[in-house]
Amino acid sequence: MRPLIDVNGLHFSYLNENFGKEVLNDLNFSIQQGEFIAIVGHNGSGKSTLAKLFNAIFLPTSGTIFVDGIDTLNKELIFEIRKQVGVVFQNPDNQIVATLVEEDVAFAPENLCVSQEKIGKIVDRALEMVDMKKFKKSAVHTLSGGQKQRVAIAGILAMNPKCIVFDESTSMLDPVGRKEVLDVMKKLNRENKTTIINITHHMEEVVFANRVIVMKDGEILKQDTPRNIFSDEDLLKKSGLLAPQVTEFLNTLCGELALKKRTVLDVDECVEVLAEILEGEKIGDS
Amino acid sequence: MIRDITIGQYVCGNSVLHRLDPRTKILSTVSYIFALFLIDSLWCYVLNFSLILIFYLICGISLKMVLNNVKPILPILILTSIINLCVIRDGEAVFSFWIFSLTDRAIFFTLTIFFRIILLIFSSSLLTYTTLPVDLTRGIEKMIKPLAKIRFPVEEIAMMISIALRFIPTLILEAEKIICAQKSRGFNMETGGFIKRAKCMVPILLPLFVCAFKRADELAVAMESRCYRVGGQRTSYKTLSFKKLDIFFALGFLAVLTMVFMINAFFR
Repeated sequence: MRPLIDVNGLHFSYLNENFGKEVLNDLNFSIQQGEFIAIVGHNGSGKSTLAKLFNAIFLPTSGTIFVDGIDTLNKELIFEIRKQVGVVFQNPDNQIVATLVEEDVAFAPENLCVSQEKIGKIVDRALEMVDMKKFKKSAVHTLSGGQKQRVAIAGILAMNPKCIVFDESTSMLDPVGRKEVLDVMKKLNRENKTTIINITHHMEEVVFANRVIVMKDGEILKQDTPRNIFSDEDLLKKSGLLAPQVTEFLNTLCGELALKKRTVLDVDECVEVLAEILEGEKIGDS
Repeated sequence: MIRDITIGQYVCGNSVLHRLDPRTKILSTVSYIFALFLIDSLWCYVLNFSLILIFYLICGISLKMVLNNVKPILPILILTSIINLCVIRDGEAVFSFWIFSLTDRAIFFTLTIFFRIILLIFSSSLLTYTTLPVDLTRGIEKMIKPLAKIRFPVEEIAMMISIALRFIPTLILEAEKIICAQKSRGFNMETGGFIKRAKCMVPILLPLFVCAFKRADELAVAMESRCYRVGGQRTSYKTLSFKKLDIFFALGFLAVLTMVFMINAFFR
């Protein structure tokens, strides 16, 4: 099957600042339709730059990126690429164009010259998907952070993309807002088979991904399932990442009790393993 | 507080004025302002004033809001009034003291200027209170559309206005945050003379400008990601249409203005 995004020998450096310093250095990977990817790495690892390369805001210095078979260097099909890959940015305030929720969602279809009757339907459907329909006529500045970010997602959904990139979209939100946005991500991936690429600092979000790409200084250190990533202590140390608290907790506990190491990803798994350990204790006692 | 200034803000409602087509409202406001500057009878000002009060009553917007907008320019208004009263010498003296004398023409002239400016704020505020920024820009866009023929960038200007209006509440919030941040570092902006206070604006405006530019940068990238292109073809989510209500309102408003002019011409 042809991958949705195909990155080959990608190099990228900015022209103006730090001339000559490579931000991205020889990246090779591909992403299939329907995958849920997490990209993690420290500040300056080049992950946000990568997001802007996916939809041709930046163009590769050398190497190629193919989106659904189209080279991002192809200027004539640039809207085709941007329609396929939508990006939700960090600050909700700086990506909402219009004063009213419905007007903002309509922005992309307006740019794509969709007819008036169709835009109405598109707006309703997009707002339905992010569960913001009752705020259709509200002014954007009256909404909470999580709600604003969901409006921004609806604005992207209005283009009916195959892939949505979340560029640290939850980092400015409170826990409630973060959960709202995460739920939307999961729902879109599950129900619409939309490819999700979540660029994040929060390891709790990484757990939901099918595949994690760990980046450092413009290079990919490893790509694997979350479980394998979080059990690889050398990798975590090298990339300066911290495993989720539950994982960390159980690792430490097992170390203290000199038990076999096990990697858990969420609270439920942790409870299961703990119950098993306690069960073993009981048998040992009697 | 800055938050109290409500220039350019919309107040939700469903009154007659809210439902009018923005173009009707823009044209009515413009003709009203023209009339303000053409009339010179005090009675006509009273009439115009009551007209605007009736409008405020109809759409249920409290006068407190608009008075907050008048507040910042009140010092200038009072200062010019005093200068006018002292400088204008023609007409009959009503009251005189030492080298100063107050003439009837001076009083009359001062009152007209005062009324004109107050009514200017009242009427233009009413326009933005009852019209959504999007509708306002759409109205302006439609009205200057003919200029596109001489390559005037109509759509881009409309987009600029709507983005400017969209960011007013965001920037006000940001300004408040900056003021709080500066205050927490011992910055004092409440005392001192006029020049000292003016200087106090620098540490507030500078970060505000820098932030605004950063925002503009990010917004531009976000807009491009959503397939926006300068000078590109676009369709419109909603279109404007004149309704019966607009015709009735326009005719009624025109009749009232004509009446005001007649009174102005015959009863001085």
